Amino acid sequence: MQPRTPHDPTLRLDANAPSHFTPSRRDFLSCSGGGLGLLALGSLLGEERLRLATQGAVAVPPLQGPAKAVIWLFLYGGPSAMDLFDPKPKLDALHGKKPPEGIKTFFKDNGNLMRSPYTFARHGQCGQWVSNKQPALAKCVDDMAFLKAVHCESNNHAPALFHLNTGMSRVGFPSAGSWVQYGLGTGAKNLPGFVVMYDPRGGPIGGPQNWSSGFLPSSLQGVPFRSKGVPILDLARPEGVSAEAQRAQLDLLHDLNKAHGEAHPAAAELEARIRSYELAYAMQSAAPEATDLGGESEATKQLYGLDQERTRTVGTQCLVARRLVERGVRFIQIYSGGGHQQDSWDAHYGLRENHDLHCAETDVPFAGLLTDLKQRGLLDSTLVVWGGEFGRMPMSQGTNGGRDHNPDGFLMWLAGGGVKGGVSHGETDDIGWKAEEGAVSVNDLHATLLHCVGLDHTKLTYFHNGRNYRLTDVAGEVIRPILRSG
Amino acid sequence: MKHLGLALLFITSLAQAQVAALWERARPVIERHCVRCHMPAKLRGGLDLSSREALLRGGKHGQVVDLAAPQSSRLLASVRAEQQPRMPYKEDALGPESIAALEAWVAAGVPMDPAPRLPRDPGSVSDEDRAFWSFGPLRKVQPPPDTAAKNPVDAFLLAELQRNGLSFAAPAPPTMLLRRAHLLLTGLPPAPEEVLAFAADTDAQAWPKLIERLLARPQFGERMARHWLDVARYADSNGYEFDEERAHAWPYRDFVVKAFNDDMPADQFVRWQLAGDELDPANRWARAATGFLAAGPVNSNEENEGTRYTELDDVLSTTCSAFLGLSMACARCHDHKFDPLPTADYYGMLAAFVTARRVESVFAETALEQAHAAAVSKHEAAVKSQTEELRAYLEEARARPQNPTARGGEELWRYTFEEPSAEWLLPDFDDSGWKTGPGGFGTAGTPGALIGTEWNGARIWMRRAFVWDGPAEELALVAHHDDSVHVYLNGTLAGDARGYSTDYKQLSVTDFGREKLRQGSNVLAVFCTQDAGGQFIDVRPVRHSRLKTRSARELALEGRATDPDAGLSDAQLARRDALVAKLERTKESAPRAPARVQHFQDHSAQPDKAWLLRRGNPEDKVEEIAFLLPRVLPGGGATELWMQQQIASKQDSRPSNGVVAESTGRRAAMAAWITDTEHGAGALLARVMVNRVWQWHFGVGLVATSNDFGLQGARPSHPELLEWLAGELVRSHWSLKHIHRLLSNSMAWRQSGTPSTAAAAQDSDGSLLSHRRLLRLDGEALRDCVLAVSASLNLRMGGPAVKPWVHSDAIATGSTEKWPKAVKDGPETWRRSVYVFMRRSVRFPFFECFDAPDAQASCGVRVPTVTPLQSLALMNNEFIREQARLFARRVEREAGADAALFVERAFLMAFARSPTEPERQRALEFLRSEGSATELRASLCQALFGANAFLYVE
Repeated sequence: MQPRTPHDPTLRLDANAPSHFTPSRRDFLSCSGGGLGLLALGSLLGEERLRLATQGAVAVPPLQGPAKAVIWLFLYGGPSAMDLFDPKPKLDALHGKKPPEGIKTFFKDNGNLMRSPYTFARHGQCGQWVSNKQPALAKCVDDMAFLKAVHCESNNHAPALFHLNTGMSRVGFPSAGSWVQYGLGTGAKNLPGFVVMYDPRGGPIGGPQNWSSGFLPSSLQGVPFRSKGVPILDLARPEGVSAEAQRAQLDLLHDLNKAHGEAHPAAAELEARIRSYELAYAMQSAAPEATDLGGESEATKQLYGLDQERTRTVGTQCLVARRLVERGVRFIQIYSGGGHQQDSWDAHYGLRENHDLHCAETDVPFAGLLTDLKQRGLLDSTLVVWGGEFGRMPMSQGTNGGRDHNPDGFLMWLAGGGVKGGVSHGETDDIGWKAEEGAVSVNDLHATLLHCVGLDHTKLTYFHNGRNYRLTDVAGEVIRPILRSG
Repeated sequence: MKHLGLALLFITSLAQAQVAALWERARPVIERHCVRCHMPAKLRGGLDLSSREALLRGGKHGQVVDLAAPQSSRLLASVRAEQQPRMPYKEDALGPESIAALEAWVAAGVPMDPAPRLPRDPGSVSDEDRAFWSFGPLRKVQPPPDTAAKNPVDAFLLAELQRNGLSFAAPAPPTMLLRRAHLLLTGLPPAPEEVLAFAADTDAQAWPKLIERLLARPQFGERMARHWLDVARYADSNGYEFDEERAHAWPYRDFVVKAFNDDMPADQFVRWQLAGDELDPANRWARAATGFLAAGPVNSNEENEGTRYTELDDVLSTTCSAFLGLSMACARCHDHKFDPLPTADYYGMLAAFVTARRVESVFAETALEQAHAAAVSKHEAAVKSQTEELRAYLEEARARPQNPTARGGEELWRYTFEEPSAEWLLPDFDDSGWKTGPGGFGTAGTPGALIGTEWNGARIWMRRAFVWDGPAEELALVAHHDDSVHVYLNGTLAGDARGYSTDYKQLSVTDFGREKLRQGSNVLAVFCTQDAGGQFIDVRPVRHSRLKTRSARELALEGRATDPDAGLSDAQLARRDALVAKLERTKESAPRAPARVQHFQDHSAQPDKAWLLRRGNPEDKVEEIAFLLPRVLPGGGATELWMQQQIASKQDSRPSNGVVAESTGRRAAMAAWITDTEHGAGALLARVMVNRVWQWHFGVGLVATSNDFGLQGARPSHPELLEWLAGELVRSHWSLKHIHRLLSNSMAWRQSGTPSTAAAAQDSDGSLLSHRRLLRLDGEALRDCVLAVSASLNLRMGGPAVKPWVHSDAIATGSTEKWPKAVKDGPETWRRSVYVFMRRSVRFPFFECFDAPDAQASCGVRVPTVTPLQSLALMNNEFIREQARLFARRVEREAGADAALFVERAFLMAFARSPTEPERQRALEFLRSEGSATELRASLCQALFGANAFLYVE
C-alpha cells in the first residue's frame, strides 16, 4: 500500500486554540448541552470558570503582554552577586574580619568575611558594575534590569529550587512554566509548550519536581529536551521500524480509530486522540528540526560560543532556545550547572575555582543569546530571566574560600519582554548579606514574569483542594519600576 | 406570575445540575459583595437576598430582577454601573467575570438553592454551618417506588432521568460488558477463552455470577488498591532533595490490597489506617495500615520545626481529604475561607498526630519474629568469639614477627604546599610540576601518624592515581587527618571531614563522588589544612566489605613498609588470613532479617505539646491547644468522651492488649469518632467512601470533587442516591464488596455508551447516567493490559516494589541517578503496575505521561489529558514495541501462520471481540503490504495497543 500524505495537523488543531493540550471536553459540553450556547460559556470563563470544570482545564484568553515567550537561565546551585554584578567595597575593607552576629548558614561553619577574588569595572551607558569574569555579558548591561535584593524562604537547595520554580518551598505545586502554558497555551503546534534543558553533568536537585505541573493537568509539565541527538523521550522510532513502516502503521491505526469513533459520535476525546497521533508524527520531524543547527551561520554559532569546547554545551542550549522561541514555544528553562558541588554554582569549596569554571561556560553563550535575540527583533517579545535559587554569603565557609547559601539577599536580572534596560532595583546591605531596600520576593518576581507575558497573577487561578490557587499564592506585587510600561 | 412561569419553563429545560452550577458561580459573588448589606440583619434599600422569594419581591424601589427581560434587570444595571448608585456600594466595581456570572444566573431565573450565607465570624462554627448538606447525620432515604427498576440504584437514577424525559440507554453487547467488568473490577482484560465462554453462556444468572467471580479474584484488590493509593499519596521514597528510598513502605500497599480482597469492613479499614498500632498492636497488618500516615513526602535534610509542621500538615490534610472530603490544609494559616474550619480546629486536630513519629518495626508473625531473634543472638556470639580469636592471634604474631626482612613498599603522591590553580582537582590537571613523595604527610609525634614525607606548613594539596576494579558501591575511603580535609575523586568532592582524627577512620563517600568512580584508573585529589598542634594526612580508597573484618588502619597501611604485619612470615600471614576469612564467612551468614514495615507510632503515652500557630509560623506560637475534633461535624469539639470511649472499648474487647503503653490513644479516639455514624463523623465518611467507589466504576463521582465535600466542592448530582448508598454501606456492616456488587449489577452500569438522541441533547456528558461515560485506562492499567495481552504478565503478588526498565534520559534529570540504568526487563519486572516502585523524583515515565499523580498530596481525581507525548510513547517506546513483538508471537503460537486467523485472534485478545468486517479487511490489507511478515505482525499488534478500542473502557 502506498503511504498516504501525512494528515495535516494544522487542519485539525486551531493554532490559536488556548492550550496545547487537549482537555477532556466533557465539561464544555456539560454546559452547552443544556441550552446555554458556547458564547454564554465564553463569557463565564473567568475567575469562577473552574468551578464549572473541576477536572478539565480551561485557559484564560491571553491579554496583550509584551512578552510571548520566557527563557529562564537558571544558575542552579546559587551564583554569587558580590562576585559577579554587585561589588561590595566594604568587603575589601573588612576582609578577614569576623562577620556580624546572627548569620545563619546551611553548614553552620561561618568563617571570616571574604572579599571578591575578582576585579570590577563599570560598563555600558548605565555604568553597571560587572566583574572581569563576564566580559561578554558586560557589553549587554544596557538591556538588563538588575534586581539586586531578591530573597527566598529557604537556604536549602530543594525547597529553594521549588520556591523559585513553583512559588512554594514545599513539593506538589505547579511550576511557573506550567502556569504560563496554562494561561497562554502554546504557539507551537508540533512542539511542547514548556521545554527544559539541563546540564549534561546532571539535572538540578529534585529533578522533574522542579518542572512539575503539580495539580494542573500533567500535559502542562516541562518536557526535558536534549540539545544533542534525539531531543525528546520516545521521539525516535523503535529500532527496525522505518519511517514508511510507521506511516503505514499510523494509517492503519487511523482507520481503526475512525471506524471506532463512528460508534461514539459524541466523544470528542476520541477525536482528539486521533489528532494526537498526527501531532506526534509531526513532532518527530519538528523537534529534531528545532534542534538541528545545520542551517545556522558560522557567525551565529560563534556568537553563542559553539566554536569553543568550554562554551559549546550552554551555547548550543541557548541557540536551541532561540530557535524554540521562533517556533512558538512559550517557556524554556536552561539549567546551568548540574549534579552537585563544583559541577553546579554551589561554591562551598573555593568560590574562585567554582565561578571561574561556570562563568567561562556561560558568559559568551548568555551574551550571545541576548545579542542574537536583539538583532533579530525578538528581544522585545522574549523575557530572559537570569538567576539561581539563592545567592551566596559574604564570608568564607570555614577557611576553604567558598561561600555558603544566602537566601536573604541575592541578585537576578531580567532582559527584554517589556523590561527596561540598564536599570537596577533594590540594594543589599554593604556586605551583601540582606536585602535592605527594594526587596523583591519570589511572589513579586513571579507576578512580574506573568505581567510581562500579559497575565494578571491575581486572576490566573486554578481550583484545587477547596480553593483557587495562584502561582503567587496570596501575595506578590508587579515590580513596576523596571517595566517599560511603568 | 406570567414571568415566573416563563422562568420556570426555562429552568425545566435546563437540567437541574446545570441550573445549580449557574447559582454556584453566582453565589460567591453575592456572598462576597452583596449580603453584608442586603440580609435581614441590615436590609439596605429594603432588599433581602436571603431567599429567591425575597429577592423577587424586590426593595423599596421596586423589583430588582425582571424575569421577563432578565438582561435589563435593575440588579444587573447597577453592577454594570448603568444605573446609580453603582453596586457594590462604595466598593471596587465587579470584574467582567463576576458580572457575567450574575447575568447567566439572572437569565436562568435566579435559582437560589442553597440560600446565600453571611460571612462567618472568625473562629466560630454555627448551627447553620452544620446544616450544610454533607456534614449532618445520615438521613433515612427510600428508593423511589414507582420505577420499573429492581435495583435501588437504578430506581434513583431512573426517577431523575424520567423527570428529564429520559431513560437508560440499551444494554451494551455481552462481550463489551465482559471486557468492561474485567477492566473495572480487576484492571485486566478477559482471556480469549473467557470471552468465548461468556458469549456462549445462556444462564440467566451469568452476569451476577461473573461479577462474583471477579470480586473474588486477587487482582480485584490490586485494582482497587491502585485507586486508593492515589488518595493515600503513597510512594516508595521520601521526596525532596535526597528522595531516599523507603525500602519498608510496601507492607502498607500490601495491606491495602489485602483489605480490599478480604472485604475488610470500610470502617475498620479507616480505623486501622489512623490508629492500627494503638487498636491492635500485636497485629502486623494493623501496624502496616498506619503506613497511610507515614506515606507522605518528607524533607530529610532539614530537621527543624518548620519541616516537622509541614510533615504533620501532610498527615492531617491527607486524613481529612481522604476520609472526610475536607480541605483542612486551607486552615493552616487562617480560618478556612469557605468551609467552617477555623484554624483552631486545624491545630486541635493536629494534636492527634504531634506525638507520632515515622518508625520501622519487624513485619512478621510473632513466632517467626522470635525464631529470628534467637538466631540473631547465636550469630552475634559466634562473631564475637571469632573476632576475639583473630585479635588475640594478631597480638601474639605481631609480638613475635618471624620474617627478618620486612616487606612492603611506598605509596607515592604528587604534592605541593603552594596554592595551585583552580583546576588542580580535575583528573586531567597537569601536576608534573609538583613534588613526589611517599604517603603519610605530617610532623613526627602526631598521634597515630606514620610519616612518609614531612609537611609542616599550613596547607597541602596532594594527588595520586589509583586503580579500581570493584563495584562502585564497594568504594570506601579511609583517612587519618589532622586537621580538616577535602577529598576529590575525579574532580568531584567525594568526602570531607572537619577537625582532626587520631587514627585512620572511614570517611563517608558522597553519592555524587561515587558516581564519578570509573573502572581502571582514577584520580584522588586531597586538600588538607593545619590549624595548630600536630599535623598529618593520609587517605586511601579500600573495599568496603573488607572493613567488616579488618580495621581502617590495617587496610590503610596494607602492603606498605609501615604495615604492622609487614614482619609476619608467610605461615603467620596464612594463619591470619584464614582467621579473617572464617570471620568474614560467619559475618556473611547472618540470619536474613525478616521484612520490616514503616509505620506511624507515638513515642510516648504522654502527648507532646500541641500549639496554635499564628499564620502557620512555628516561631509564632499563640497558645497551647487541646486535642479537638472539627466542630462542624457531629461529635466534634472537645474529645474527652472519645478518649474515654476508645479506652473503654479496648478494655472490654482486648484486655490483654489494652492501650499501647507508649501511645497517647488520640488517634484511636479520632478513629472511633470518624467511623461512628450515630454520634461522630461516620455519616460523612460513609458518603465519601461510597462516592469513591462510584467514581471508580463510573469515572466521575456522584460528588465530582471526591476529595472535597465542602462548600467549594461540587454538589451531589443525585443527593438521595448518595445518601441511600452511604446508608447501605453502613447497613451492610461497611462491606465495600456489597457496594461493588450493587453497582456492577445495575442497569445503569450495564448500559451502552451510545446516548439516545434526546440524551445526546440533554445529557451529553452522561452526568444523569442516560448512557455510560467512556473511560480511558490509566497508565498503570494500560501497562497491565499490554502485559496481559502479550502473555508476559507475572501475577505474583506483594512484597518489595520492582524497578522496570526506564529510558536513561528519564533517569538523568536529577542531580543524582535515582533509578538503576540498564535494567533488562523480564518476568521479574513484568509485575502488575501497582508493584512498580513509586519514586517521587523519578516518576515512571509511562505512568506520568498518562496522568498518574505525583504522590506529593492526596489525589482524588486524575485529570485525563490527551497529548502527543502519549502517542509518542505508544508509537516508539521500547517497552511497547517489545511487548507488541511478544503479542504477535503469542498470536502465532495460538492461531498459526494463517493471516485471517491471526487477525481474528489478535482482535479477540486485545479488544475481547472479533474484528468487524471492515476492520478485518483493513488489517489483512496491512499484513499484505511490503516488508517482513514478522515486523508487520508486530506493527499490527502495536497498532491494536494504540487503538482507542484498547485504550478506552467502552
